[in-house]
Amino acid sequence: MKYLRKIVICFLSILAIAGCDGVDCPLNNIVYSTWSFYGNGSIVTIPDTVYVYAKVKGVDTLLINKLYNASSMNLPLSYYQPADTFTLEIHQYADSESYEIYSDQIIINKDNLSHFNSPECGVWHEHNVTGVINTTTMIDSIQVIRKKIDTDEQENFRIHFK
Amino acid sequence: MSKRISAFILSSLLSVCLLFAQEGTAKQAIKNEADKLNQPAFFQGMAISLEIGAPLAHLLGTDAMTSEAGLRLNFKNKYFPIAELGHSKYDTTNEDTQIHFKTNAPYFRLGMDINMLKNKLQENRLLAGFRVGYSTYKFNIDGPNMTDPIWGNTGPLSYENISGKRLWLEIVFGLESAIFKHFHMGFSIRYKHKLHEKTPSEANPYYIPGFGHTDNGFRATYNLYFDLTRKIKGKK
Repeated sequence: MKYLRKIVICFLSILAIAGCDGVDCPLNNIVYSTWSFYGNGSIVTIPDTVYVYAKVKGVDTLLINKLYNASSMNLPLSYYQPADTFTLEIHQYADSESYEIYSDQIIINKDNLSHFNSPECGVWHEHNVTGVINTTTMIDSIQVIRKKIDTDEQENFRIHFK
Repeated sequence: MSKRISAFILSSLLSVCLLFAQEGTAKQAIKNEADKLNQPAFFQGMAISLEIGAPLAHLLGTDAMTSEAGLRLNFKNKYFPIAELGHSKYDTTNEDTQIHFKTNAPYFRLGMDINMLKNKLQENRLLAGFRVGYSTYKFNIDGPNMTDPIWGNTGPLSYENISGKRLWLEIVFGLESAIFKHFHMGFSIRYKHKLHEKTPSEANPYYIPGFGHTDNGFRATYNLYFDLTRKIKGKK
């Protein structure tokens, strides 16, 4: 088997070229919490316009602008704060020009965990929910479905409206 | 009279049968002796191996620097128990994210290769086998501070002396050829699969010494073998 010797020697050059490998980053390494809207125990679509603000250094910062006909939404959470405060606002239109505004505040208490994946993909920040507090203008209650908030995009909260 | 004839015939037949049996036994004994001389001796010797694929790849630009050697026994030119001991160093900084990862640890593997070629008396081998590998390691990660794009808070990116362990299995297929007397070269393709690991929750070990990047998958090796002792045939 003289050709076997040639094959073995030739493979040395192939091996050197094939020394490279890489890592595929996940398509989504941004962490969002997933919220579903419920009424009377079943999922509902809100026909009105939804806005969500985050309290950033004491100032309301718009996160979601004019979400319409929605049954769910995704919200980011802060990397490092132990609690995030959101304002959920619904503009209910009586006609094309006039509307009423209903709003509630939601406070998420959480533990934060940064997770390193690779030098290419960097770090993402996961959270573990420890508690939820809300006002009750239009919200009846908020149910925590999944405490862990990560890149899996699974349902975390259900807002039960009155 | 008839009884005497029958006895004579019977004894004659018995004698002929015994004669044939003895001749058959003698032939078989000669064949067995010839087979023994054409079979490899039970213990064929041992060899030292050096893996050169990884150092060569490092010279060509990969971030891992690995040194690995092994001690391989040879039984009947068919069974090759082997122990591999290595040390791997990995140090990389990503140009885009400026995140730096560094690890530096030994590893070892135990396993066996089997020569699948029918003719065990020749010097070339087609090998199939396995390895069980283990590494315990620490790694460091650092990079620019991370800023929350919405809330504006900033935090450090720094993980120091994060430790982990991994046990894995490799399925090995390879070719080996005699280049000179007492010197072989060979390559192998290995599928590596994690069996058990202990890793921290806050960081993935981007590279594990002996295993490579953390996902299960294929790797290749290129080895030089130096025979310390050598036999091919059986009794002489």
